[in-house]
Amino acid sequence: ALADAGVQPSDVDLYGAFACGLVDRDACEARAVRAAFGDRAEQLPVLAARGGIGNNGAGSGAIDFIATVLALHHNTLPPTINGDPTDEACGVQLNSTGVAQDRRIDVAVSGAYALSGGQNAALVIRKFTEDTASRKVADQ
Amino acid sequence: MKRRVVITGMGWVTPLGQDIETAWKRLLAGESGVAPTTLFDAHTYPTTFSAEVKGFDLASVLGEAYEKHKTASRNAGFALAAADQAWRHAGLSPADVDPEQVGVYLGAGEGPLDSENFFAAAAAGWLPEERRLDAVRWAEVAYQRLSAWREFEQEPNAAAGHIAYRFNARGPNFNTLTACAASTQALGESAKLIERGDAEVMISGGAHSMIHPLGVTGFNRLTALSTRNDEYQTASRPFDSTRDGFVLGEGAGILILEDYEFARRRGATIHGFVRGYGSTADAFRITDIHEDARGAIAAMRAALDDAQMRPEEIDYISAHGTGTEENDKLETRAIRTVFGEFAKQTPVSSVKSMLGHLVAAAGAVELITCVLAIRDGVIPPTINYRHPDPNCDLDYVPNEARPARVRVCLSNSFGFGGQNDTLIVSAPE
Repeated sequence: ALADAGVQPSDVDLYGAFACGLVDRDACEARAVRAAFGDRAEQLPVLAARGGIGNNGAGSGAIDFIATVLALHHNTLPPTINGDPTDEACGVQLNSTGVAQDRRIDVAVSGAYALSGGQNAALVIRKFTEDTASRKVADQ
Repeated sequence: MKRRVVITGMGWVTPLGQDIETAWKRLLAGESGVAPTTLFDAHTYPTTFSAEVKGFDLASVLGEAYEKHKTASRNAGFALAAADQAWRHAGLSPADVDPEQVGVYLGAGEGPLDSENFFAAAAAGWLPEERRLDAVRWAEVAYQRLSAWREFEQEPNAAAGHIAYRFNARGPNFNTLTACAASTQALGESAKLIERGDAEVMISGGAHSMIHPLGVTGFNRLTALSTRNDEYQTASRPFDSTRDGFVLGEGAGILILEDYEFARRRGATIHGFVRGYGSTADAFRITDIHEDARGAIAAMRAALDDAQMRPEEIDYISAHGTGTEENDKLETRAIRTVFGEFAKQTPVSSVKSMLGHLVAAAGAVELITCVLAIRDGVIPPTINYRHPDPNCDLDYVPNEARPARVRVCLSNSFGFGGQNDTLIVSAPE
Protein backbone atom coordinates (compact mmCIF):
# COMPACT_ATOMS: atom_id res chain seq x y z
CA ALA A 1 0.00 0.00 0.00
CA LEU A 2 2.82 2.43 0.87
CA ALA A 3 4.55 1.60 -2.42
CA ASP A 4 1.29 2.05 -4.32
CA ALA A 5 0.80 5.46 -2.67
CA GLY A 6 4.39 6.58 -3.11
CA VAL A 7 4.50 7.27 0.66
CA GLN A 8 7.42 6.68 3.01
CA PRO A 9 6.88 5.23 6.49
CA SER A 10 8.24 8.47 7.92
CA ASP A 11 5.40 10.36 6.18
CA VAL A 12 2.70 8.45 8.05
CA ASP A 13 0.96 10.18 10.97
CA LEU A 14 -1.45 7.48 12.08
CA TYR A 15 -1.95 3.72 11.85
CA GLY A 16 -5.55 2.47 12.11
CA ALA A 17 -5.26 -1.01 13.59
CA PHE A 18 -7.57 -3.99 13.31
CA ALA A 19 -6.44 -5.25 16.76
CA CYS A 20 -9.42 -7.27 18.03
CA GLY A 21 -7.96 -8.27 21.41
CA LEU A 22 -6.61 -11.73 20.61
CA VAL A 23 -3.27 -12.30 22.37
CA ASP A 24 -1.33 -13.67 19.43
CA ARG A 25 -3.02 -11.72 16.68
CA ASP A 26 -2.52 -8.30 18.26
CA ALA A 27 1.16 -9.12 18.91
CA CYS A 28 1.49 -10.24 15.30
CA GLU A 29 -0.06 -7.03 14.00
CA ALA A 30 2.32 -5.00 16.18
CA ARG A 31 5.23 -6.97 14.70
CA ALA A 32 3.97 -6.21 11.21
CA VAL A 33 3.75 -2.49 12.06
CA ARG A 34 7.35 -2.50 13.35
CA ALA A 35 8.55 -4.33 10.25
CA ALA A 36 6.67 -2.10 7.82
CA PHE A 37 7.40 1.22 9.52
CA GLY A 38 10.90 0.56 10.87
CA ASP A 39 12.22 3.52 12.89
CA ARG A 40 8.92 5.36 12.54
CA ALA A 41 7.04 2.61 14.39
CA GLU A 42 8.18 3.65 17.86
CA GLN A 43 6.49 7.06 17.66
CA LEU A 44 3.64 6.19 15.29
CA PRO A 45 0.23 6.93 16.86
CA VAL A 46 -2.19 4.03 16.63
CA LEU A 47 -5.98 4.10 16.50
CA ALA A 48 -7.44 0.90 17.98
CA ALA A 49 -11.22 1.10 18.21
CA ARG A 50 -12.34 -2.46 18.89
CA GLY A 51 -12.53 -1.83 22.66
CA GLY A 52 -15.61 0.27 22.07
CA ILE A 53 -17.19 -1.34 19.02
CA GLY A 54 -16.16 -5.00 19.18
CA ASN A 55 -15.24 -7.12 16.18
CA ASN A 56 -17.61 -6.19 13.36
CA GLY A 57 -16.70 -9.14 11.16
CA ALA A 58 -16.56 -8.36 7.47
CA GLY A 59 -17.72 -4.82 8.28
CA SER A 60 -14.65 -4.07 10.41
CA GLY A 61 -12.45 -2.90 7.57
CA ALA A 62 -14.95 -0.34 6.34
CA ILE A 63 -15.77 0.88 9.85
CA ASP A 64 -12.09 1.20 10.75
CA PHE A 65 -11.39 3.00 7.49
CA ILE A 66 -14.12 5.54 8.22
CA ALA A 67 -12.81 6.02 11.77
CA THR A 68 -9.30 6.57 10.37
CA VAL A 69 -10.58 9.08 7.82
CA LEU A 70 -12.48 10.95 10.56
CA ALA A 71 -9.38 10.99 12.76
CA LEU A 72 -7.42 12.43 9.84
CA HIS A 73 -10.17 14.92 8.96
CA HIS A 74 -10.52 16.21 12.54
CA ASN A 75 -6.83 15.88 13.48
CA THR A 76 -7.86 13.81 16.48
CA LEU A 77 -6.70 10.50 17.91
CA PRO A 78 -9.58 8.71 19.67
CA PRO A 79 -8.67 6.86 22.88
CA THR A 80 -8.23 3.12 23.07
CA ILE A 81 -10.32 1.99 26.03
CA ASN A 82 -10.12 -1.05 28.37
CA GLY A 83 -7.03 -2.61 29.86
CA ASP A 84 -3.51 -1.48 30.37
CA PRO A 85 -1.84 -1.04 26.98
CA THR A 86 1.74 -1.69 28.04
CA ASP A 87 2.20 -5.18 26.61
CA GLU A 88 5.85 -5.18 25.55
CA ALA A 89 5.13 -7.70 22.87
CA CYS A 90 3.04 -5.00 21.24
CA GLY A 91 4.77 -1.78 22.17
CA VAL A 92 2.56 0.48 20.05
CA GLN A 93 1.62 4.10 20.73
CA LEU A 94 -1.99 3.91 21.77
CA ASN A 95 -3.88 6.86 23.17
CA SER A 96 -4.56 5.50 26.65
CA THR A 97 -5.59 8.80 28.26
CA GLY A 98 -9.26 7.99 28.00
CA VAL A 99 -10.00 11.15 26.00
CA ALA A 100 -9.47 12.15 22.39
CA GLN A 101 -6.15 13.89 21.73
CA ASP A 102 -5.37 16.57 19.19
CA ARG A 103 -2.91 15.30 16.60
CA ARG A 104 -1.84 16.66 13.25
CA ILE A 105 -2.76 13.84 10.86
CA ASP A 106 -2.18 14.30 7.14
CA VAL A 107 -1.40 10.74 6.09
CA ALA A 108 -2.81 7.56 7.62
CA VAL A 109 -2.70 3.82 6.98
CA SER A 110 -5.68 1.56 7.74
CA GLY A 111 -5.12 -2.20 7.98
CA ALA A 112 -7.51 -5.17 8.00
CA TYR A 113 -6.61 -8.82 8.40
CA ALA A 114 -8.86 -11.89 8.09
CA LEU A 115 -9.11 -13.94 11.29
CA SER A 116 -9.28 -17.06 9.15
CA GLY A 117 -8.28 -17.44 5.51
CA GLY A 118 -5.11 -15.36 5.57
CA GLN A 119 -6.25 -12.32 3.58
CA ASN A 120 -4.54 -8.98 4.37
CA ALA A 121 -5.43 -5.53 3.09
CA ALA A 122 -4.11 -2.03 3.76
CA LEU A 123 -5.16 1.41 2.55
CA VAL A 124 -3.25 4.68 2.59
CA ILE A 125 -5.23 7.91 3.02
CA ARG A 126 -3.92 11.40 2.47
CA LYS A 127 -5.74 14.50 3.66
CA PHE A 128 -7.27 16.46 0.84
CA THR A 129 -5.99 19.99 0.53
CA GLU A 130 -5.54 22.29 -2.45
CA ASP A 131 -1.85 21.34 -2.29
CA THR A 132 -2.43 17.61 -2.50
CA ALA A 133 -4.99 18.10 -5.25
CA SER A 134 -2.62 20.08 -7.42
CA ARG A 135 0.33 17.83 -6.59
CA LYS A 136 -1.59 14.79 -7.83
CA VAL A 137 -2.34 16.53 -11.11
CA ALA A 138 1.33 17.48 -11.50
CA ASP A 139 2.41 13.84 -10.87
CA GLN A 140 0.19 12.73 -13.71
CA MET B 1 -1.40 0.01 -24.38
CA LYS B 2 -3.63 -2.39 -22.44
CA ARG B 3 -1.96 -5.53 -21.14
CA ARG B 4 -3.50 -8.64 -22.66
CA VAL B 5 -4.81 -11.47 -20.51
CA VAL B 6 -4.51 -15.13 -21.48
CA ILE B 7 -5.77 -18.47 -20.20
CA THR B 8 -2.98 -20.96 -19.62
CA GLY B 9 -4.64 -23.67 -17.52
CA MET B 10 -8.05 -25.09 -16.62
CA GLY B 11 -9.48 -27.63 -14.23
CA TRP B 12 -12.85 -28.61 -12.85
CA VAL B 13 -14.88 -30.88 -10.60
CA THR B 14 -18.36 -31.40 -12.02
CA PRO B 15 -21.40 -33.68 -11.84
CA LEU B 16 -20.22 -35.23 -15.15
CA GLY B 17 -16.63 -35.83 -14.16
CA GLN B 18 -13.62 -34.60 -12.24
CA ASP B 19 -11.20 -33.89 -15.06
CA ILE B 20 -11.46 -31.75 -18.18
CA GLU B 21 -11.63 -34.41 -20.89
CA THR B 22 -14.02 -36.83 -19.12
CA ALA B 23 -16.68 -34.23 -18.41
CA TRP B 24 -16.26 -32.46 -21.78
CA LYS B 25 -16.76 -35.73 -23.67
CA ARG B 26 -19.93 -36.41 -21.71
CA LEU B 27 -21.18 -32.87 -22.29
CA LEU B 28 -20.70 -33.29 -26.03
CA ALA B 29 -22.55 -36.61 -25.82
CA GLY B 30 -25.50 -34.79 -24.25
CA GLU B 31 -25.35 -36.74 -20.99
CA SER B 32 -27.09 -35.67 -17.80
CA GLY B 33 -25.39 -35.53 -14.42
CA VAL B 34 -28.75 -35.38 -12.60
CA ALA B 35 -29.88 -38.15 -10.22
CA PRO B 36 -31.76 -38.63 -6.94
CA THR B 37 -30.06 -36.68 -4.15
CA THR B 38 -27.80 -38.75 -1.90
CA LEU B 39 -25.88 -36.10 0.07
CA PHE B 40 -28.80 -35.83 2.49
CA ASP B 41 -32.19 -37.50 2.81
CA ALA B 42 -34.28 -35.36 0.48
CA HIS B 43 -37.30 -37.60 0.06
CA THR B 44 -39.66 -35.24 1.94
CA TYR B 45 -38.59 -32.15 -0.01
CA PRO B 46 -40.46 -30.76 -3.03
CA THR B 47 -37.32 -31.55 -5.05
CA THR B 48 -35.68 -34.91 -4.43
CA PHE B 49 -32.98 -34.81 -7.12
CA SER B 50 -29.86 -32.79 -7.97
CA ALA B 51 -26.60 -32.92 -9.93
CA GLU B 52 -24.05 -34.15 -7.41
CA VAL B 53 -20.34 -34.62 -7.85
CA LYS B 54 -19.94 -38.39 -7.53
CA GLY B 55 -17.27 -40.02 -5.41
CA PHE B 56 -15.11 -36.97 -4.67
CA ASP B 57 -12.00 -37.81 -2.61
CA LEU B 58 -9.72 -34.90 -1.82
CA ALA B 59 -7.08 -37.14 -0.24
CA SER B 60 -6.50 -39.03 -3.46
CA VAL B 61 -6.18 -35.74 -5.38
CA LEU B 62 -3.75 -34.04 -3.00
CA GLY B 63 -1.71 -37.02 -1.79
CA GLU B 64 0.86 -35.87 0.80
CA ALA B 65 -0.50 -32.34 0.72
CA TYR B 66 -3.88 -33.56 2.00
CA GLU B 67 -2.67 -33.23 5.60
CA LYS B 68 -2.55 -29.45 5.22
CA HIS B 69 -6.04 -29.20 3.75
CA LYS B 70 -7.93 -32.06 5.40
CA THR B 71 -10.33 -29.74 7.24
CA ALA B 72 -11.45 -28.08 4.00
CA SER B 73 -15.19 -28.13 3.54
CA ARG B 74 -16.71 -29.77 0.46
CA ASN B 75 -16.66 -26.70 -1.78
CA ALA B 76 -13.11 -25.72 -0.79
CA GLY B 77 -12.09 -29.30 -1.56
CA PHE B 78 -13.62 -28.96 -5.02
CA ALA B 79 -11.73 -25.69 -5.50
CA LEU B 80 -8.42 -27.28 -4.46
CA ALA B 81 -8.88 -30.23 -6.81
CA ALA B 82 -9.83 -27.98 -9.73
CA ALA B 83 -6.92 -25.64 -8.97
CA ASP B 84 -4.54 -28.61 -8.92
CA GLN B 85 -5.58 -29.57 -12.44
CA ALA B 86 -5.39 -25.99 -13.69
CA TRP B 87 -1.97 -25.32 -12.15
CA ARG B 88 -0.53 -28.52 -13.68
CA HIS B 89 -2.20 -27.75 -17.00
CA ALA B 90 -0.51 -24.35 -16.97
CA GLY B 91 2.84 -26.00 -16.33
CA LEU B 92 3.74 -23.47 -13.64
CA SER B 93 6.44 -24.21 -11.15
CA PRO B 94 7.54 -22.09 -8.15
CA ALA B 95 10.70 -21.05 -10.00
CA ASP B 96 8.61 -19.41 -12.73
CA VAL B 97 7.11 -16.61 -10.71
CA ASP B 98 7.49 -14.35 -7.68
CA PRO B 99 4.85 -15.54 -5.14
CA GLU B 100 3.67 -11.96 -4.62
CA GLN B 101 2.78 -11.82 -8.31
CA VAL B 102 0.41 -14.79 -8.00
CA GLY B 103 -3.06 -13.83 -6.81
CA VAL B 104 -6.31 -15.64 -6.17
CA TYR B 105 -9.78 -14.37 -6.98
CA LEU B 106 -12.62 -16.80 -6.51
CA GLY B 107 -16.36 -16.67 -6.72
CA ALA B 108 -16.74 -19.27 -4.01
CA GLY B 109 -19.78 -19.99 -1.95
CA GLU B 110 -20.00 -20.63 1.74
CA GLY B 111 -19.17 -24.15 2.86
CA PRO B 112 -22.05 -26.43 3.76
CA LEU B 113 -23.63 -25.81 7.15
CA ASP B 114 -23.03 -28.52 9.74
CA SER B 115 -26.73 -29.33 9.47
CA GLU B 116 -26.68 -32.42 11.63
CA ASN B 117 -25.31 -30.71 14.72
CA PHE B 118 -27.03 -27.39 14.10
CA PHE B 119 -30.43 -29.08 13.84
CA ALA B 120 -29.70 -31.35 16.83
CA ALA B 121 -29.12 -28.21 18.91
CA ALA B 122 -32.31 -26.66 17.54
CA ALA B 123 -34.29 -29.82 18.30
CA ALA B 124 -32.85 -29.94 21.83
CA GLY B 125 -33.86 -26.32 22.46
CA TRP B 126 -37.31 -26.43 20.87
CA LEU B 127 -40.26 -25.99 23.27
CA PRO B 128 -43.17 -27.52 21.31
CA GLU B 129 -46.05 -26.31 23.53
CA GLU B 130 -44.79 -22.73 23.48
CA ARG B 131 -43.64 -23.00 19.86
CA ARG B 132 -40.39 -21.22 20.56
CA LEU B 133 -36.72 -21.88 20.99
CA ASP B 134 -35.11 -21.98 24.43
CA ALA B 135 -32.01 -20.08 23.43
CA VAL B 136 -30.03 -21.05 26.53
CA ARG B 137 -30.62 -24.77 25.94
CA TRP B 138 -29.84 -24.30 22.23
CA ALA B 139 -26.56 -22.63 23.09
CA GLU B 140 -25.57 -25.36 25.58
CA VAL B 141 -26.06 -28.13 23.06
CA ALA B 142 -24.61 -26.12 20.16
CA TYR B 143 -21.51 -25.32 22.20
CA GLN B 144 -20.92 -29.01 22.82
CA ARG B 145 -21.67 -30.23 19.32
CA LEU B 146 -20.49 -27.58 16.84
CA SER B 147 -16.87 -27.58 15.77
CA ALA B 148 -14.86 -24.35 15.66
CA TRP B 149 -12.88 -25.65 12.71
CA ARG B 150 -16.04 -26.32 10.78
CA GLU B 151 -17.09 -22.70 11.35
CA PHE B 152 -13.79 -21.33 9.99
CA GLU B 153 -13.88 -23.67 7.04
CA GLN B 154 -17.42 -22.65 6.21
CA GLU B 155 -16.45 -19.00 5.67
CA PRO B 156 -16.62 -17.93 2.01
CA ASN B 157 -12.99 -16.84 2.00
CA ALA B 158 -11.73 -20.26 3.13
CA ALA B 159 -11.34 -21.70 -0.37
CA ALA B 160 -9.21 -18.73 -1.46
CA GLY B 161 -7.11 -19.16 1.66
CA HIS B 162 -6.55 -22.88 0.99
CA ILE B 163 -5.54 -22.19 -2.60
CA ALA B 164 -3.09 -19.49 -1.51
CA TYR B 165 -1.56 -21.97 0.96
CA ARG B 166 -1.32 -24.77 -1.60
CA PHE B 167 0.35 -22.68 -4.31
CA ASN B 168 2.22 -20.16 -2.16
CA ALA B 169 0.13 -17.46 -3.82
CA ARG B 170 0.93 -14.33 -1.81
CA GLY B 171 -0.51 -11.74 -4.14
CA PRO B 172 -3.99 -10.18 -3.96
CA ASN B 173 -6.53 -12.59 -2.53
CA PHE B 174 -10.25 -12.08 -2.92
CA ASN B 175 -13.53 -13.85 -2.78
CA THR B 176 -16.85 -12.66 -4.10
CA LEU B 177 -20.08 -14.37 -3.23
CA THR B 178 -22.43 -12.72 -5.72
CA ALA B 179 -24.49 -15.87 -6.09
CA CYS B 180 -24.87 -17.21 -9.61
CA ALA B 181 -22.71 -14.44 -11.09
CA ALA B 182 -19.82 -14.94 -8.67
CA SER B 183 -17.20 -16.86 -10.64
CA THR B 184 -17.78 -14.90 -13.86
CA GLN B 185 -17.24 -11.78 -11.80
CA ALA B 186 -14.12 -13.29 -10.20
CA LEU B 187 -12.64 -14.13 -13.59
CA GLY B 188 -13.47 -10.70 -15.02
CA GLU B 189 -12.00 -8.91 -12.03
CA SER B 190 -8.91 -11.15 -12.21
CA ALA B 191 -8.41 -10.08 -15.82
CA LYS B 192 -8.72 -6.42 -14.83
CA LEU B 193 -6.28 -6.95 -11.99
CA ILE B 194 -3.71 -8.40 -14.43
CA GLU B 195 -4.42 -5.57 -16.90
CA ARG B 196 -3.56 -2.94 -14.32
CA GLY B 197 -0.39 -4.77 -13.34
CA ASP B 198 -1.29 -5.93 -9.84
CA ALA B 199 -0.35 -9.55 -10.57
CA GLU B 200 1.20 -11.62 -13.37
CA VAL B 201 -0.77 -14.78 -12.61
CA MET B 202 -4.25 -15.20 -11.18
CA ILE B 203 -5.80 -18.45 -9.97
CA SER B 204 -9.45 -17.71 -10.58
CA GLY B 205 -12.86 -19.32 -10.89
CA GLY B 206 -15.37 -20.59 -8.38
CA ALA B 207 -16.66 -23.39 -6.19
CA HIS B 208 -19.98 -24.11 -4.51
CA SER B 209 -21.93 -26.88 -2.87
CA MET B 210 -25.50 -26.06 -1.84
CA ILE B 211 -26.98 -29.54 -2.05
CA HIS B 212 -27.94 -29.60 1.62
CA PRO B 213 -31.13 -29.06 3.65
CA LEU B 214 -30.82 -25.27 3.90
CA GLY B 215 -29.83 -24.78 0.27
CA VAL B 216 -32.65 -26.90 -1.11
CA THR B 217 -35.20 -25.45 1.33
CA GLY B 218 -34.30 -21.93 0.30
CA PHE B 219 -34.55 -22.51 -3.42
CA ASN B 220 -37.70 -24.64 -3.06
CA ARG B 221 -39.38 -21.89 -1.05
CA LEU B 222 -38.52 -19.46 -3.83
CA THR B 223 -40.08 -21.99 -6.26
CA ALA B 224 -36.87 -21.74 -8.24
CA LEU B 225 -36.18 -25.47 -8.49
CA SER B 226 -37.72 -27.97 -10.86
CA THR B 227 -39.91 -30.47 -9.03
CA ARG B 228 -40.01 -33.12 -11.78
CA ASN B 229 -39.03 -35.86 -9.35
CA ASP B 230 -40.32 -38.63 -11.64
CA GLU B 231 -38.37 -37.47 -14.69
CA TYR B 232 -35.27 -35.96 -13.12
CA GLN B 233 -32.94 -36.59 -16.05
CA THR B 234 -35.05 -34.35 -18.29
CA ALA B 235 -35.95 -31.83 -15.58
CA SER B 236 -33.32 -29.28 -16.56
CA ARG B 237 -34.78 -27.95 -19.80
CA PRO B 238 -33.59 -24.41 -20.47
CA PHE B 239 -35.62 -22.40 -23.00
CA ASP B 240 -38.19 -25.20 -23.37
CA SER B 241 -41.80 -24.02 -22.94
CA THR B 242 -42.43 -26.69 -20.26
CA ARG B 243 -39.43 -25.73 -18.11
CA ASP B 244 -40.25 -25.50 -14.40
CA GLY B 245 -37.08 -24.30 -12.71
CA PHE B 246 -33.42 -25.11 -12.34
CA VAL B 247 -31.69 -28.23 -11.07
CA LEU B 248 -29.22 -27.68 -8.26
CA GLY B 249 -25.67 -28.81 -9.06
CA GLU B 250 -22.33 -28.45 -7.28
CA GLY B 251 -18.67 -28.32 -8.20
CA ALA B 252 -15.77 -26.05 -9.08
CA GLY B 253 -14.03 -24.57 -12.10
CA ILE B 254 -10.60 -22.93 -11.94
CA LEU B 255 -8.64 -21.18 -14.69
CA ILE B 256 -5.11 -19.80 -14.61
CA LEU B 257 -5.05 -16.31 -16.11
CA GLU B 258 -1.76 -14.62 -16.95
CA ASP B 259 -0.34 -11.50 -18.43
CA TYR B 260 0.28 -12.39 -22.08
CA GLU B 261 3.91 -11.24 -22.15
CA PHE B 262 4.69 -13.08 -18.94
CA ALA B 263 3.11 -16.27 -20.32
CA ARG B 264 5.03 -15.99 -23.57
CA ARG B 265 8.36 -15.40 -21.84
CA ARG B 266 8.01 -18.55 -19.78
CA GLY B 267 6.92 -20.58 -22.81
CA ALA B 268 3.38 -21.30 -21.61
CA THR B 269 0.78 -22.77 -23.92
CA ILE B 270 -1.99 -20.25 -24.46
CA HIS B 271 -5.52 -21.64 -24.62
CA GLY B 272 -7.38 -18.39 -25.16
CA PHE B 273 -7.59 -14.66 -24.58
CA VAL B 274 -9.92 -12.93 -22.15
CA ARG B 275 -11.13 -10.13 -24.38
CA GLY B 276 -13.93 -8.41 -22.53
CA TYR B 277 -15.82 -8.16 -19.26
CA GLY B 278 -19.02 -6.38 -18.30
CA SER B 279 -20.56 -6.15 -14.83
CA THR B 280 -23.85 -4.47 -13.91
CA ALA B 281 -26.72 -4.56 -11.45
CA ASP B 282 -30.48 -4.64 -12.05
CA ALA B 283 -31.14 -2.40 -9.05
CA PHE B 284 -34.45 -4.20 -8.53
CA ARG B 285 -36.11 -6.76 -6.20
CA ILE B 286 -33.43 -9.23 -5.27
CA THR B 287 -35.33 -12.36 -6.31
CA ASP B 288 -36.52 -11.15 -9.70
CA ILE B 289 -34.98 -9.99 -12.93
CA HIS B 290 -36.06 -6.57 -14.14
CA GLU B 291 -38.67 -7.13 -16.87
CA ASP B 292 -36.70 -5.07 -19.40
CA ALA B 293 -33.65 -7.27 -18.78
CA ARG B 294 -31.81 -3.96 -18.49
CA GLY B 295 -28.97 -5.34 -16.38
CA ALA B 296 -28.25 -8.23 -18.74
CA ILE B 297 -28.37 -5.95 -21.78
CA ALA B 298 -25.97 -3.52 -20.15
CA ALA B 299 -23.56 -6.29 -19.09
CA MET B 300 -23.35 -7.77 -22.58
CA ARG B 301 -22.89 -4.34 -24.14
CA ALA B 302 -20.22 -3.46 -21.60
CA ALA B 303 -18.33 -6.68 -22.35
CA LEU B 304 -18.52 -6.07 -26.11
CA ASP B 305 -17.34 -2.48 -25.57
CA ASP B 306 -14.48 -3.65 -23.38
CA ALA B 307 -13.51 -6.17 -26.07
CA GLN B 308 -14.02 -3.56 -28.79
CA MET B 309 -16.07 -6.14 -30.65
CA ARG B 310 -19.39 -6.15 -32.42
CA PRO B 311 -22.17 -8.67 -31.71
CA GLU B 312 -21.77 -10.33 -35.11
CA GLU B 313 -18.24 -11.37 -34.15
CA ILE B 314 -19.56 -13.71 -31.46
CA ASP B 315 -19.68 -17.35 -32.66
CA TYR B 316 -21.32 -18.85 -29.57
CA ILE B 317 -23.21 -17.57 -26.53
CA SER B 318 -22.95 -19.70 -23.41
CA ALA B 319 -26.21 -18.65 -21.80
CA HIS B 320 -26.92 -18.32 -18.12
CA GLY B 321 -29.89 -20.47 -19.19
CA THR B 322 -31.02 -21.80 -15.80
CA GLY B 323 -34.34 -23.26 -16.95
CA THR B 324 -36.51 -20.86 -14.94
CA GLU B 325 -39.47 -19.28 -16.68
CA GLU B 326 -38.13 -15.81 -15.95
CA ASN B 327 -34.44 -16.12 -16.76
CA ASP B 328 -34.75 -17.89 -20.06
CA LYS B 329 -37.42 -15.49 -21.35
CA LEU B 330 -35.57 -12.37 -20.22
CA GLU B 331 -32.13 -13.57 -21.24
CA THR B 332 -33.57 -14.23 -24.71
CA ARG B 333 -35.01 -10.72 -24.73
CA ALA B 334 -31.62 -9.32 -23.73
CA ILE B 335 -29.77 -11.24 -26.45
CA ARG B 336 -32.27 -10.09 -29.08
CA THR B 337 -31.84 -6.50 -27.95
CA VAL B 338 -28.05 -6.56 -27.96
CA PHE B 339 -27.55 -8.73 -31.05
CA GLY B 340 -30.43 -7.31 -33.10
CA GLU B 341 -30.48 -8.81 -36.60
CA PHE B 342 -27.62 -11.15 -35.62
CA ALA B 343 -29.47 -12.75 -32.70
CA LYS B 344 -31.10 -15.54 -34.69
CA GLN B 345 -27.89 -16.59 -36.38
CA THR B 346 -25.83 -16.79 -33.17
CA PRO B 347 -25.96 -20.22 -31.50
CA VAL B 348 -26.91 -20.09 -27.83
CA SER B 349 -26.77 -23.06 -25.48
CA SER B 350 -26.96 -23.85 -21.79
CA VAL B 351 -24.81 -26.59 -20.30
CA LYS B 352 -26.96 -26.25 -17.18
CA SER B 353 -29.25 -28.64 -19.06
CA MET B 354 -26.64 -31.32 -18.31
CA LEU B 355 -24.67 -30.11 -15.27
CA GLY B 356 -27.44 -28.41 -13.40
CA HIS B 357 -26.75 -25.03 -11.81
CA LEU B 358 -23.42 -24.90 -10.00
CA VAL B 359 -24.44 -21.52 -8.50
CA ALA B 360 -21.25 -19.62 -7.66
CA ALA B 361 -19.14 -22.08 -9.70
CA ALA B 362 -21.37 -21.96 -12.80
CA GLY B 363 -19.61 -19.07 -14.53
CA ALA B 364 -16.14 -20.62 -14.31
CA VAL B 365 -17.28 -24.03 -15.50
CA GLU B 366 -19.18 -22.43 -18.37
CA LEU B 367 -16.17 -20.33 -19.37
CA ILE B 368 -14.11 -23.53 -19.57
CA THR B 369 -16.71 -25.02 -21.94
CA CYS B 370 -16.24 -21.92 -24.13
CA VAL B 371 -12.47 -22.45 -24.29
CA LEU B 372 -13.05 -26.11 -25.16
CA ALA B 373 -15.64 -25.20 -27.81
CA ILE B 374 -13.01 -22.98 -29.42
CA ARG B 375 -10.34 -25.66 -29.13
CA ASP B 376 -12.43 -28.47 -30.66
CA GLY B 377 -14.69 -26.50 -33.00
CA VAL B 378 -17.87 -27.90 -31.45
CA ILE B 379 -20.71 -26.32 -29.48
CA PRO B 380 -22.24 -28.22 -26.53
CA PRO B 381 -26.01 -28.70 -26.74
CA THR B 382 -28.99 -27.59 -24.71
CA ILE B 383 -30.48 -31.00 -23.97
CA ASN B 384 -34.07 -31.85 -22.99
CA TYR B 385 -35.32 -29.34 -25.57
CA ARG B 386 -38.59 -30.63 -27.03
CA HIS B 387 -41.22 -27.88 -26.90
CA PRO B 388 -40.25 -24.53 -28.42
CA ASP B 389 -41.41 -21.46 -26.53
CA PRO B 390 -42.56 -18.48 -28.62
CA ASN B 391 -40.86 -16.21 -26.06
CA CYS B 392 -37.58 -18.06 -26.60
CA ASP B 393 -37.04 -18.09 -30.33
CA LEU B 394 -33.29 -18.26 -30.79
CA ASP B 395 -31.08 -21.15 -31.94
CA TYR B 396 -30.41 -23.06 -28.72
CA VAL B 397 -28.38 -25.91 -30.33
CA PRO B 398 -31.05 -28.40 -29.30
CA ASN B 399 -30.13 -31.83 -27.97
CA GLU B 400 -27.01 -32.52 -30.05
CA ALA B 401 -23.55 -31.01 -30.04
CA ARG B 402 -22.81 -29.10 -33.22
CA PRO B 403 -19.48 -28.88 -35.04
CA ALA B 404 -18.85 -25.23 -35.86
CA ARG B 405 -16.08 -22.73 -36.38
CA VAL B 406 -15.82 -21.12 -32.96
CA ARG B 407 -13.32 -18.27 -32.54
CA VAL B 408 -15.08 -16.00 -30.05
CA CYS B 409 -17.51 -16.86 -27.24
CA LEU B 410 -19.63 -14.76 -24.93
CA SER B 411 -20.65 -16.18 -21.55
CA ASN B 412 -23.41 -14.82 -19.31
CA SER B 413 -24.00 -15.23 -15.58
CA PHE B 414 -26.85 -13.49 -13.81
CA GLY B 415 -27.34 -13.74 -10.05
CA PHE B 416 -30.20 -13.57 -7.56
CA GLY B 417 -29.63 -10.11 -6.17
CA GLY B 418 -29.48 -8.65 -9.67
CA GLN B 419 -25.80 -8.94 -10.52
CA ASN B 420 -25.15 -9.47 -14.23
CA ASP B 421 -21.74 -10.46 -15.55
CA THR B 422 -20.52 -11.24 -19.03
CA LEU B 423 -17.15 -12.45 -20.31
CA ILE B 424 -15.83 -12.68 -23.86
CA VAL B 425 -13.03 -15.12 -24.71
CA SER B 426 -11.31 -15.72 -28.04
CA ALA B 427 -9.06 -18.29 -29.65
CA PRO B 428 -5.31 -18.37 -29.06
CA GLU B 429 -3.60 -16.82 -32.03
